[in-house]
Amino acid sequence: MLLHNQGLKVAMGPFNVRIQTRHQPLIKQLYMLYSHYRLVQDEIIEFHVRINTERSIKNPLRLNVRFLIDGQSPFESFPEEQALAVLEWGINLAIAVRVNHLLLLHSAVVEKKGAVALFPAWPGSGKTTLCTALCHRGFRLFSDEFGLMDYQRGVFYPIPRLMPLKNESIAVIRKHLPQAVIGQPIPNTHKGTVAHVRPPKESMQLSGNAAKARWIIFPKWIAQAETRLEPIADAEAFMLLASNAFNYEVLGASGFRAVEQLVASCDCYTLTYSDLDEVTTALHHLVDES
Amino acid sequence: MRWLSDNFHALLVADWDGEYTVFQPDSGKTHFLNHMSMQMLSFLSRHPVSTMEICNYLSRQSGQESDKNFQDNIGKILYHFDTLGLIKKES
Repeated sequence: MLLHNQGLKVAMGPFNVRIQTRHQPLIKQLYMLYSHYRLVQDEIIEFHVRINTERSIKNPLRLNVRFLIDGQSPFESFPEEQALAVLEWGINLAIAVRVNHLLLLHSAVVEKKGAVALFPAWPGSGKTTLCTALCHRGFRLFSDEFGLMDYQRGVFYPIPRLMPLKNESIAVIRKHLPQAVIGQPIPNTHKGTVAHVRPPKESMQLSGNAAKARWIIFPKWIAQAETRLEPIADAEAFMLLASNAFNYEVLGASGFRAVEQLVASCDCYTLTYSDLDEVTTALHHLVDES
Repeated sequence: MRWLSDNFHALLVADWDGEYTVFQPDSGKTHFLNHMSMQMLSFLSRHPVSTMEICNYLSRQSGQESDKNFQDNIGKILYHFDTLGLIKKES
């Protein structure tokens, strides 16, 4: 009922989101997976989103879902079983195109001992799987998708949300982290099969605590690879980081100075790995020895 | 033909121990430059110079012989800089 009318109003890091839907299967999934999200009452809502159901034009017996933000539909409708994935992608899109007062990195972000490690990487690098493992093993989750840098303060804001595992990584995480709460797999999306991991409660409780970055690590999962953490030249790190920033060019000179400041204040590495236990140990060692 | 840096002093430059990332406000683009490329751009900011003068200067700075290969490479960099709008021909 709440979701039909006033909507579910939750905090997602520095943003408040109102979600409305009448789609019962989605409501049940949100009840389980959003259980640690902070509810907001009388605060300003940045994003008003809705999941509507509609009949498929091609097959009227089939129900589709459509994402709307501020009443507008930014993309096509999808089969109803993809409702949760569509909601999460839609919110990602809203953040990626509307937020320009922060530098937005396409990056997993975790924290330990008050310092942030960034894992900037394009899709397919394994950053969500890595991030899921780390945040269940001693690191605080900031995000598996967005590094939100307040470049005037020089800090990152947490935005812990559901972590969407894809295809083979679902089984990998189920085996590696039997305690993780994972939603039902959603097959046949344009990214394959997707399943969402609920963010750890501790990470959600600390989502108001920003931190400065200390490490920039460019990850790449390669089957059967040894875990290797190798320093990378600052100039190369700069160009890679800039290319992984959604709004680097929009920000112009401010974006340039933000990335410069970030690279100058961080140790930069490339990381190749295949084993989650090994890479988790290696990253704890990196942090603890610093 | 003589070359000159275009709006060199408006560039934002980050120095990473002899490698450079450069923000070009006119285009909004960011470029990676090695040490020699940055020396070339800086040299061209002083006054217009010919391709041969650039080659001679960089040859002295780097200790490399200004042979045909060297001059061809300098020519390619100049073409690339011209395309990016970092330099222009003296009118």
